[in-house]
Amino acid sequence: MTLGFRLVDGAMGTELIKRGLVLGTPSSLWNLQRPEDIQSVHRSYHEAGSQAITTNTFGANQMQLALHGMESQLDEINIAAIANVKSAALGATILGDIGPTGEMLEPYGDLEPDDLKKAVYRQGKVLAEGGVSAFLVETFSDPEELCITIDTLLAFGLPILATFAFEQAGSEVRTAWGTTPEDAALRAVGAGATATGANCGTELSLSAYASLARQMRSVIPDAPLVLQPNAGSPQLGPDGMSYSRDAEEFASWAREVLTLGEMILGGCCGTTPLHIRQMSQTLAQESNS
Amino acid sequence: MDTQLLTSAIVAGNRKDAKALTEQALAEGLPPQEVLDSLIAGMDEIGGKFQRNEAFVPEMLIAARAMKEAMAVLEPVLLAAGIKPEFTAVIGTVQGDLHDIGKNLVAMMWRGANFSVVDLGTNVPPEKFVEAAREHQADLVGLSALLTTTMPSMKATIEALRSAELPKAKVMIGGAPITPEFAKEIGADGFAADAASAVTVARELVAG
Repeated sequence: MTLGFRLVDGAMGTELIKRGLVLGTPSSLWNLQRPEDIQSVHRSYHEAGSQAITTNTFGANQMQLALHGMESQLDEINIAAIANVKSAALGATILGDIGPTGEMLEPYGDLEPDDLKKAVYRQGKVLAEGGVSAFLVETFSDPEELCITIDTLLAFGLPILATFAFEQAGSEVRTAWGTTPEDAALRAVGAGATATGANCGTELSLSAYASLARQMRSVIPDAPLVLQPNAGSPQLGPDGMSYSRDAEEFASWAREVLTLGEMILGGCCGTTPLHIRQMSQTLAQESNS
Repeated sequence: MDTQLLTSAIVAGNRKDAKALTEQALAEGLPPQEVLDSLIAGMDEIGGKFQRNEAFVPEMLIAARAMKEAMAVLEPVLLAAGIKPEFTAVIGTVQGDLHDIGKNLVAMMWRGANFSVVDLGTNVPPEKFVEAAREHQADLVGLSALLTTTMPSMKATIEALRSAELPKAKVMIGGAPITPEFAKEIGADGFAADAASAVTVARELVAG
């Protein structure tokens, strides 16, 4: 399936911290309280070339909101998040962002599969009815949790992009659950994801990202791969954390991974509209050549 | 009873067996210290596998849960026998960060290594670390962060601990984005890359 976009957006969280988000407060609340800041992030990515924009709803599920006593505002927050994309990025494809609930499934934690399904359905329904074009289900470590999430979202009949967070495990790359890129991709696509891939991933180099994409491609020859790396590992400076991997590096990395078939590129922690702009130029050059 | 069974139940993360075997071992009159050592050996073994990338977070989590069940049986017996942890540790995830998997694993590994552990939870402000370290006369304070964005909270917490003058309390930090360089830069006494090495580092730090 062709999704009609190749470039999504970059980081939301680190952009909001620049705009004054206090650590420990839920960023999804800013959809209601600071809509102009959320919109400015969306707008900056859209202007930089992002064809699809992700709603600021990563933590807007009932478990995460309950940690802040905001569970009753779930509908309101998710609806406002969609409105923020619509008003800031006219014409962009809207991706409804869904993250892990933060609780772990039995036997690792106390979460029962039925309770996970209910939570995913509740957020998914608000996003689907609000008009998102697809779901972006991201930053998962436990493949079972991701598969239950995908399976639940299939009820809404929208494409699902599903990505894992990988980390370096010795010479290999695995999720925290020990899942290899090959297994991860097979599980996600097997559960019904339209596209699969990776996002975030502390300490992962761009070359590790390229090699995990190759591993996924070796078992998933057709589905688009979604890749959203961090802008490197953060350094502590006088003004807080800064990220070292610059936009130029992203551009040359994009050239490399575009040789691996259909790709959907974007960024995670620390990436900025500049990273997106550089990749947008790379994509334009590829299309022209 | 073969104490290796206790160790194996922890390594396999078998909660039911870990509890039943601990009860059985005590009923058979095995010294509680020997039961404890066998359980700790299990945590050490799974921790070693984790360090060598032969086991991952899920295996650690179920082992920790099995350890918890066994300790619930064993702890009153240890207390009655006057066997108390030699050292006290305070642990928490720093302000702004709500992640607790790594912190919980380290807490469990420390308990397994016979530290008395006070777990402050997540999103813990610096002053709460200071308060708890003072109240419990902590030998060790452990700070965890998963988010790169919350690493500055570690720095603030260490500054607060230093200015509170708690000479006994050694500070160690850990979490996915943490590097030894960062630990050094913000003045931590120790750094651990994972829950298993957190035990080794903790033992070294409290030994002075």
